[in-house]
Amino acid sequence: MSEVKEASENEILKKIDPAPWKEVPLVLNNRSYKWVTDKICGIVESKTPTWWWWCFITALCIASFTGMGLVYLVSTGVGVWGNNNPVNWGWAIVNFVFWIGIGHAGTLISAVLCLLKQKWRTSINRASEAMTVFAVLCAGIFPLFHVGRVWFAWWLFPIPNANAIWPQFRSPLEWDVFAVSTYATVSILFWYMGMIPDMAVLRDRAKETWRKYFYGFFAMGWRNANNHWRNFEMAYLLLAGLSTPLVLSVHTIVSFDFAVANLPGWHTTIFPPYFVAGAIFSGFGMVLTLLLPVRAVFGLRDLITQKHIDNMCMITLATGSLVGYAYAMEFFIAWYGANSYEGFAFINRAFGNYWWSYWIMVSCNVICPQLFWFKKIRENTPLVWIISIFVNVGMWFERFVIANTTLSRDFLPSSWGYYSPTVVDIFTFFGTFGFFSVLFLLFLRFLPLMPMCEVKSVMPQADPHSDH
Amino acid sequence: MIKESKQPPFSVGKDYWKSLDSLAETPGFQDWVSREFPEGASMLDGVQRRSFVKLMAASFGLAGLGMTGCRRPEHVILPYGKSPEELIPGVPAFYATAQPTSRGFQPLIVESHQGRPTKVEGNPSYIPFGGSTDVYSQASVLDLYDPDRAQGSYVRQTLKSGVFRWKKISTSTVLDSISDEISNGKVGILANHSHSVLRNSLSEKIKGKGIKWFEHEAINYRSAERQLGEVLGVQVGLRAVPTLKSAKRVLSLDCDFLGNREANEVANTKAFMSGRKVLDPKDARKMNRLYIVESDLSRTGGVADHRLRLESSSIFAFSCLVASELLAKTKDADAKLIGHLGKLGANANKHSKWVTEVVKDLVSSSSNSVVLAGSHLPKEVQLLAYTMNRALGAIGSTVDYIETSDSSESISSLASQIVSGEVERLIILGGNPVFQTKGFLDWDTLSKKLKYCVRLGASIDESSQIADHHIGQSHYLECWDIGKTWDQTALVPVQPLIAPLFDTISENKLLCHLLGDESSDHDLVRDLQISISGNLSFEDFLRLGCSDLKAVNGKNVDPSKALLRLSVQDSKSPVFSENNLEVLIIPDFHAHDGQYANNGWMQECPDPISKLTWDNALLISPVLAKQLEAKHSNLGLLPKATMLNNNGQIAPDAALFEGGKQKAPVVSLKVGNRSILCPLYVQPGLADFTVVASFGLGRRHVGRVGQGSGYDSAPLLNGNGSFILQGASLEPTGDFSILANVQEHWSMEGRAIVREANSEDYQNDPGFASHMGAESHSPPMWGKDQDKSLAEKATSTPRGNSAYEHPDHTYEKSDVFGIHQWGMAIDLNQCTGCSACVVACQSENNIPVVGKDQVLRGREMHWIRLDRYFSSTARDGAEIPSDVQVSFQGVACMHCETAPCESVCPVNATVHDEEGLNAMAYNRCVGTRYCANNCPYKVRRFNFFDWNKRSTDELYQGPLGEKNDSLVDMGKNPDVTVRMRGVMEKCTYCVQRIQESKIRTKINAQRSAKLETGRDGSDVKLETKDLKVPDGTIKTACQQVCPSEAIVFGDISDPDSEVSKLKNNPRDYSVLGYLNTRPRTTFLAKVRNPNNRMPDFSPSPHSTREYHDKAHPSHHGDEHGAH
Repeated sequence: MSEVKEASENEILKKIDPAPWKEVPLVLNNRSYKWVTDKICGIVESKTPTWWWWCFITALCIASFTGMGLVYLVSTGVGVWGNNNPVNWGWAIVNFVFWIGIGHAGTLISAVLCLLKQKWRTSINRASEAMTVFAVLCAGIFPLFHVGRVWFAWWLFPIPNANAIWPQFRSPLEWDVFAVSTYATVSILFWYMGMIPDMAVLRDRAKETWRKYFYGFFAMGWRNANNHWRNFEMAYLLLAGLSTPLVLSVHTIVSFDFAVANLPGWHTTIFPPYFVAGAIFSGFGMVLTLLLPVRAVFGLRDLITQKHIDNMCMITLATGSLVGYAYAMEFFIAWYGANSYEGFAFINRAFGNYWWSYWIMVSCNVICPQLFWFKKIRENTPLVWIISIFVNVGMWFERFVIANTTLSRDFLPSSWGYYSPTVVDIFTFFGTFGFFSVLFLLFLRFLPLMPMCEVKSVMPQADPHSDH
Repeated sequence: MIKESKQPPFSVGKDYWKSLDSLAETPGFQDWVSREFPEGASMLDGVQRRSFVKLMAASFGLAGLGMTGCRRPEHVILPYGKSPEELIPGVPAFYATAQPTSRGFQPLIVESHQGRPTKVEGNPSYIPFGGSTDVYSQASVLDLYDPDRAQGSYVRQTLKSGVFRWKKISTSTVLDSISDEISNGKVGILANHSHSVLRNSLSEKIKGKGIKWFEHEAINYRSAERQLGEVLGVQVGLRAVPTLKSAKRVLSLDCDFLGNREANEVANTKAFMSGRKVLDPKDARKMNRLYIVESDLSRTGGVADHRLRLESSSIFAFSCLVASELLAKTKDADAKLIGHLGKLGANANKHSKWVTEVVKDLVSSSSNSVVLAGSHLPKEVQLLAYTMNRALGAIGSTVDYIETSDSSESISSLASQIVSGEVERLIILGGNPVFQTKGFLDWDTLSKKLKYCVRLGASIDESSQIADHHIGQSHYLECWDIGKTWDQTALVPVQPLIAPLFDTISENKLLCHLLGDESSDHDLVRDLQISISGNLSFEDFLRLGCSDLKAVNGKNVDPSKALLRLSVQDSKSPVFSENNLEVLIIPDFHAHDGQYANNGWMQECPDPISKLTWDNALLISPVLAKQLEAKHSNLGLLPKATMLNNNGQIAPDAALFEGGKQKAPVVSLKVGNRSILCPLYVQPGLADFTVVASFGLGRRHVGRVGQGSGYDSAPLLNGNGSFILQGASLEPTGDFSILANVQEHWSMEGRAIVREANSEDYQNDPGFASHMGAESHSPPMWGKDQDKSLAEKATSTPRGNSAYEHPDHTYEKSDVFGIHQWGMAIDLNQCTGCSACVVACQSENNIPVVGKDQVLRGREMHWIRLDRYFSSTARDGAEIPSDVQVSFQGVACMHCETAPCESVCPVNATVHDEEGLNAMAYNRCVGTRYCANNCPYKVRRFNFFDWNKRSTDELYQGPLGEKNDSLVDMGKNPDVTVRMRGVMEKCTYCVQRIQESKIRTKINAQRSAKLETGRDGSDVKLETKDLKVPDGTIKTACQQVCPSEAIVFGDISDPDSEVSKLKNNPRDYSVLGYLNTRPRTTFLAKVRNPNNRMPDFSPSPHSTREYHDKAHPSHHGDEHGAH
């Protein structure tokens, strides 16, 4: 073997003249730190735009549907919903799983992508975390109010009491209580903690007194000191580590509500991974649905770049395909398992009395995201937004299909039934979108919608080795 | 017929009326009674809780007097000053009484809590019923507390605007005005059929006073006996009373003897089904066999081994064919007669192969065979049935023809006498003749002719509309009476359990008043009883609840002459087609003849075959439905199969569902110049061109419950009393009606839910049931424990071949393991679908009525439901078949040992108790409904609303809605919690009855231990064996009412208990056993007994074949039923 000299190597490089690896910057147009600060803080500090008021009032009205629906429900009985025997869980549980699923993207983006050092997450993580928190709040409404005697719902918590009765720890609903409350707590902590430095920025820029007090209170005395940053970074990392398993556990446990039951179509081991994939899928769908308009309205194209959209689209594509694989695998196992009840349950899903919902689900969840293979489509923002809506619809139907097709036709044909929602069902669910929007609009108005410090850290200027 | 009610060795279970009697003998009580008796307190007007309780307390206190449980009706008394000794609040008393019906008096024992009758049970002293009742008796107690009852008497007032209203007045005022009116003469009385000895004696006296007596019964069970007497030329009626205990072969000619279309359903069911009890292959060889020819699919048809669909109009010709073949085969052969009958039967010749085999089979069992004819059939068929029974030697062996007499005039003659002015004043006693006869009598004109009309009725209904006065009629639980059972072998008392709640009187009281006889009806009943069965004292008679009577058997009459008079013309029936339909009118399951139309329990109890609630529909055959579909495109009668499955298509639901609700096209049914509007319902098993209309619903003047339910077929009825009409046609109106069907899917889809075999297969393989179902062809999950009995599998924790190690903390060896282990076995071979269990459970367990709207939403609350499956020979199951086999299955909570509901309840509200009950703690339930989802049997019921607090039309009003009438609450069983909204409920195995028996057993054990040892208090040690409740002591409500003893409950840890024996029977299986739920309720597989020479013989039951086709699809196409 002949010796290769370094000089000759260099010569080769000179000869072929390789193009430099050009990383697409995460903030476009060479924006400065100040621009970022002004941009994000400006959203909060500027005069409340008129559109915001219109949106807020509309959302508030819509949210009142949920309020009225729940008042009617509690005062009259669960019968005002469409639930029946055999479909004892109707829309309520469907909506719960739907919202909880949406709540997944936030933590995934902030925690998992943080641990995986995915720098592009920075400009979307704050809004996603807010979405998570609000979605979990919406989700919590349903399991709480779907019970027959909501005034005793606290019995689900293991509170020592005079009767010495504990909850039943074998019940997946009990696990739900812990899983969802833990998830909500950690998500709120994570969200809030990440906001502290930005709150301090807002505090420091504030002119009105109330702002000074408001942001000052929430900034918790942040002084930008080195040890503050050290603690912050460490706490952030710890919380990221803590929330990462939660991303998997919450929806796993939610899927146990079904998988632990013995009903054909529910009693399957594929549910946990399939639910988690579905949750991430729906979460990213919702992030796209929310952030694309926000990006347009606030002119954030330099911060939420095509790269971000590309990445989110690709995650949606990947998880959508995973979900599609799960659908196929369910059918395979139902056939391979040779259990006639199980086999029937799946044929019933696709061709039975709720066939329409199954095919809505398949076309929205499996077929739609396949469009993201094409760069042209990913770059067409309105189209991406429309597809993201389809993803949301499809994921709602997925839960509907799972919950209702199985319950409406299970073991004994004598007890087969059919479920249709009532007006109260529809309005209560519709109202949660209003509730969610109210919260999200307040978030946009009063809180920094991007972590400025983190965005700055991934800007080209932050890299001392960069040319700038 | 009478047996002394056996008291268990120690007083366990029902403490009948005896203890109260002994109570009455104590001098202190006698003294108290004489002192505390105020005379002539004012009568109650309306019921108020306070006065009601006072009254009840007093009447209960008097329970121990010689009158056994009844105060003298004249007196209203004050509450106890001091509680009588030994009267334990909370412990119910039981009294013997009877329900007077047109089907004879139904002997009953009624449970009374502090004076409130709450639950009706059959009187076991009357052996043919053996402690069972039909569904109507069960529901009748609700009528007592019906808020829509006539709560007194009313006078009709016409307002200036021309409308009239009813003003409440006192009954005594009305009685006075009646006295005035009848003194003017020309009085007629219109009454129902009655089997009351008292009323008959009163009516004779009435007739003696020149008052005319007319009787009408819409569902006339007695027409057959009258017709048979007529056609045979004897002066009396001849009532065919089957005694089916020894019957081996039964041919039913459109005779629903196991259902509500014939009288004596309970006795027939009990006797007939006892001949189908199959506990081992030996029994199977002795099993009886039922052939039926019918146009409708009745419950009897559901039980039948061979069933031929034939229009009712053709039954005459068919019977002639059977009779001619039968006479030819028996020694009575007379060539001329046989030839004549053969000629008459020529129209039915296409069924000759069927007939030949049936006749062969009937003749082979000769006197153990019987032919039964439906009471709605013409006299010729009654005659033919009589002839055949005579030829078979069945009379006296399997059927008795007893003499009856009936000297009343018909309602048509009343009408003509009103028109001619012979009757000017009319008294209508009970019933509802105006509603029932409006098809052929013009009551508007008739009522104008009447000078005065008074109506005695339970509620203000259609018949009250023509009356000037309405008098509230007392419920039978408020009156005295005495009467006969249908078979006339027993004299039974009706004794009141409660003073009339309102200002009402009984029929007999009114008649007495007309006679000017002021003696109390109690005395009249006593005198009559003593004169009829003098050797039994009146007190004993009341305690026993019945006394022996000798029915008079009819003389044996040679029918040949009458037979020869039959003409070929009569036997011809038209060829029916879509444009010339036959209409069969049957009594409605829910309302009977209309009298239960306001009874919520009956309205909500699903029709056993169609499973409709709150409605009736015009039943049409699938063939007719197809033809109608072809003609009218948008009917939607026959839906497409709703999915694809591995066999091609799945059976569609029986009718079209839109959003889960059954949309039935409304048609106009025209018969001659009469027509009615009614919704259509496709029913398998009907004769192709027979449509079945039910009678009794669709009432206009009815209480809140019955308002708007069903359609009225009364306009179709004609004066000749025929329930079979011809020449009908259907015309869709384009409207649709929503029907509340509790079971939408008719097919079992080849699942081994109801497991069946033919008798022959059963004899070859008694354990066939364990070779079916997913558990039979999946890897043996029980491993080495495979052969343990189901009882053992449910009470122990067998681990099978589990590779995992388990710590030995086996529950069954622990201290907390109960000394009883409860379980139930339901023999599917015994169930006829009578649904008495459904209502009995409802009555016992305070199960609310939810109303049609909520049933439509799938929220019915029945703890036990009767699943009805059809199975057919059609292989793909995608089309609604015409020829079906029916399988019934009563499903209530199975009390699984490894209950799926228990592990998913997040708050521990449903837990297992130490005796194997799956207990439900209502107080703890928050209502997540997860348990109901996870129950594979779907037996859990959720209180979606405050069913008990609000009436069914106020449910959606929430707190703004009005509260329910508290009168209904008085009928509630105080031993069972009334559930609030938001909680789950389900069958508890009647835990209140279990507890009661356990407490009694313990008390008795303590007493005897005290006596033996002389010690008292905590040092008395009780042995486990003393605390064990003897087998058979506890009967669940469903078990107690079941006429065919299909349900057996008991301790499965006791190998000698009846339930254990049944669970060790090879026919025993768990439904969905493969889920390893280890249910405590198991089922005994059904055995059918077809005749393998019959043309419609199927080597295995249809459902079994469907199962095998599905379980082994590779053998698809093999010989049917091969396995």
